[in-house]
Amino acid sequence: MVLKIIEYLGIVFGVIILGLLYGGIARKVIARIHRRYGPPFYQNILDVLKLFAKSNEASHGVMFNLGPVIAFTGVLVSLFFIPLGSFRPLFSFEGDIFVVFYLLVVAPLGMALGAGEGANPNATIGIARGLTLMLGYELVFFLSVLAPMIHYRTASIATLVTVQSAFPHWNVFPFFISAFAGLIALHGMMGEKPFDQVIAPHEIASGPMVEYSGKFLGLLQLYHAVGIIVETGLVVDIFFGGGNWLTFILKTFFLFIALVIINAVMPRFRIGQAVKFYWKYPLVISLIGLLIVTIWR
Amino acid sequence: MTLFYILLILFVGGILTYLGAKISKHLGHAIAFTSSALSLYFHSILYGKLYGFTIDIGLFKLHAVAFSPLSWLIGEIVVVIGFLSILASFKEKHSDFYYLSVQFLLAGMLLFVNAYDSITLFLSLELVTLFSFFGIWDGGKESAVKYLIWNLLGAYFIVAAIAILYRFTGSYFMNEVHYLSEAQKLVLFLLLFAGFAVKSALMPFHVWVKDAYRDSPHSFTALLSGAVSKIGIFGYFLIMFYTFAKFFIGAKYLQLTLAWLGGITALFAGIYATTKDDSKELLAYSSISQLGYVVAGIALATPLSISAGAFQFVGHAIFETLLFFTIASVAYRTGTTRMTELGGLIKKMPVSFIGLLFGIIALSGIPPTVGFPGKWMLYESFIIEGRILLAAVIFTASITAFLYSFRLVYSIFLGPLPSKYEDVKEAPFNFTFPIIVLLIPLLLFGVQPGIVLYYIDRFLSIFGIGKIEHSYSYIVTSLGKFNALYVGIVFAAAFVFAFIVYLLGGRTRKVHQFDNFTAGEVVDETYKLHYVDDFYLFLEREIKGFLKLRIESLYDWLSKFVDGLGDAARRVYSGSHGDYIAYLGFTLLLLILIYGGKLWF
Repeated sequence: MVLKIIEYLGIVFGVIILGLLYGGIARKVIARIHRRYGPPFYQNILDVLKLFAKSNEASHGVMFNLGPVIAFTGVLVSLFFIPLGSFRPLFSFEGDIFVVFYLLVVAPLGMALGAGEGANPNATIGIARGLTLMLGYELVFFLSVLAPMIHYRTASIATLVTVQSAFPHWNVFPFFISAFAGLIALHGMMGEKPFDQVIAPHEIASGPMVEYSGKFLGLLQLYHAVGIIVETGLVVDIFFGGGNWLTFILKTFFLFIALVIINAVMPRFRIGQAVKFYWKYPLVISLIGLLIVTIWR
Repeated sequence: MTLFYILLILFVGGILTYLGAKISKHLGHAIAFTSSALSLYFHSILYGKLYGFTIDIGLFKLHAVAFSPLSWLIGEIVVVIGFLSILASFKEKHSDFYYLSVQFLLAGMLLFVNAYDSITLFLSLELVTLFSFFGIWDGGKESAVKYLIWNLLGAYFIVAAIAILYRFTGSYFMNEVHYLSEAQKLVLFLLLFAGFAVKSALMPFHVWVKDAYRDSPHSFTALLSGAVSKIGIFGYFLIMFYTFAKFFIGAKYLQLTLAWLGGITALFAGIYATTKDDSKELLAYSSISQLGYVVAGIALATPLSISAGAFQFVGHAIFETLLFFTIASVAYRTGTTRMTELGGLIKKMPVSFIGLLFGIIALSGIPPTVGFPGKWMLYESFIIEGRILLAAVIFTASITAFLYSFRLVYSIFLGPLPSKYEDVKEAPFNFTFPIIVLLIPLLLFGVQPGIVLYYIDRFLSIFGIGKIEHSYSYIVTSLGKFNALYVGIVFAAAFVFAFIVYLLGGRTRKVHQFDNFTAGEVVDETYKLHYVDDFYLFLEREIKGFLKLRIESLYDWLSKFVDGLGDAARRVYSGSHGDYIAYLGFTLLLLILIYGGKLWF
């Protein structure tokens, strides 16, 4: 029991470090694309340490303080229901894809509640945009994930990882149409350009994060770091065959860097355009993918 | 006979409340409190028993038997919410007749869920309609009339169906019907379904809900949404799995049509809810949307989907009532339900905030609250049955729930506090008590869904539908598994971990609400920093065409058409003798043309 708890704490710690490193490398990659030198790849870890060391930070109230805590809680809970490569947490068989779908919402909700008490209109505009964008990408993601689910008649992520045991059996090959739509949805879920209306630093001053500083911002950084692993990990598990811990890390890394490269060269949609884009193209693509699966079965 | 005594307590209590209130307001309150508390106690001890009564009232007999396990379940929801609603309404201003209406309404609902013959069914339905009309009348007269007209329409459907049923079967009992052709069964089924759909506000019969919920007294709205809408749901169960059981289980096309009706209701009402400015209008649409899930679930008629629908309506009764009570407490202190006029109340009304927060968490279906297991079972059952598009529609509807529920919590409790609410206090005990009481089942049934599911199992086994695999904490389907207890434990553990990380950081200091980032601008009260007007304007802009498409315009057109028809008929009676003689001549000419020579010989 104690060993198990230590093991879990180790995993959480590892995932946090990994996520922060991913973020740091992403900053470096973006900088090189923009022909800048960029910060060192471990900069995000230093940032978090610095933020937690700060004191006398502005707080707007209890919910404001708890918001980042709930956000971090949300991603940690999701982490335990997603198989991380060969490592199968105890809970990955206890809750299937729909559970994860709803657990993934806890984190944005926590951040939204906290930012709401900050009483800054920029923050609320960011959240309203984020929720609207959700109306776009969540449905696409749901429909694209349904394709392998219906084919294998299971909603358990752990089982889906098991059926695609080796390289040529990855779901991305038979379900490439759905996987394509799913990747576009993932792009919006991660909030990378052209779907970064929630943050939009030049318009609404980082949106929900605008009032946060010090350890609150540090917690939000941790939330973002774990969020990267959870969201890319979910797609890797469903479409790219999971893998052992090393290949899992490699797969999530390359997937994330691919998204970041697109992010680096893209402008930003208006929020209306972004939602409309999701309803126009990826939705149709995912429906076609689903149609093929239902006929093929 | 316990049920009979409960009804007697409520009827006598209602009359005594009315008379007592003439002497002193407090006496009336005391009697209403006692009678509703007694009915709650006596109904609770009926758990797991078979109960009922028959009385002869001359022309016919009234039979009330709890033949379905859902009778007790919905009856219990009715008495609990009724008790809480009466408790909260003591603090509000009401006419003396209001308390009589509420108690008669409770009695009517209890009689309805136990009605064994169609006369009792119809009589109790009329009781419910009439006395909820009086309840709404206390808040807004026009909306009450609208409510009455729509519900009378529903009653006409039902009375027509009952009359036809009697003509064909010669029995007043709601037993399973035989000896009817498929077409006859379909017509009767649809008539009854339409009648109950008005009560549970299924689209396209939902138009009365927005006005009735907005204008009714705040604590009465909780009763309307939490309990009265369940009457319609009980009606669905009655006709689908009892009166027309064999017919309905066999009619796949009908199941799909009704399930789609529920799905579309859920989605459309969810989208409308995001565009509303008044918190009670928003909740009215959210209530319609959540009941759409229930209809979609039970119409699909598999054991899993029926359990999903039944669980969802229990959840709906808990969180929707909770939300309406929090709105009631806010409205009691601030005097408004318009979200654009509120804000920042979290610092003043923490208990109401917690109530609303958990209410919206359950409403959007986030585990481990009561909103999630129902939705989870719904998705699983749709996908097992291969109804993928329906699952997608319901999923989209549940995303709209995130949108409108964040708008609700933000506009009322978060954001800057207007200076006029500087000295608002927490709502009195009468409002906070229902909120705290309802939080318990909200979390308990979320972590242990089995408590409700074991009860629903009884319904499934008595009506021979099948069963689902579950225990107190987990549910298993052929697709996957959901362990609510584990989710709850992991949640608690992760929260503790995150909180420890939070404590590792430095100290914080409390700042004023206007001490925030405004890009160098100095802000004060004159700047509107509360982002509440047209919250989802960018979304509304994208779906402008859809929002224009409203069923109300069809009804408006229909009413104008009938109006015009009446106008045309009125012109016939012009008042001129020449015209009348001309009519006579034309009629004679017509008769001659039709009957030809026959008229002469």
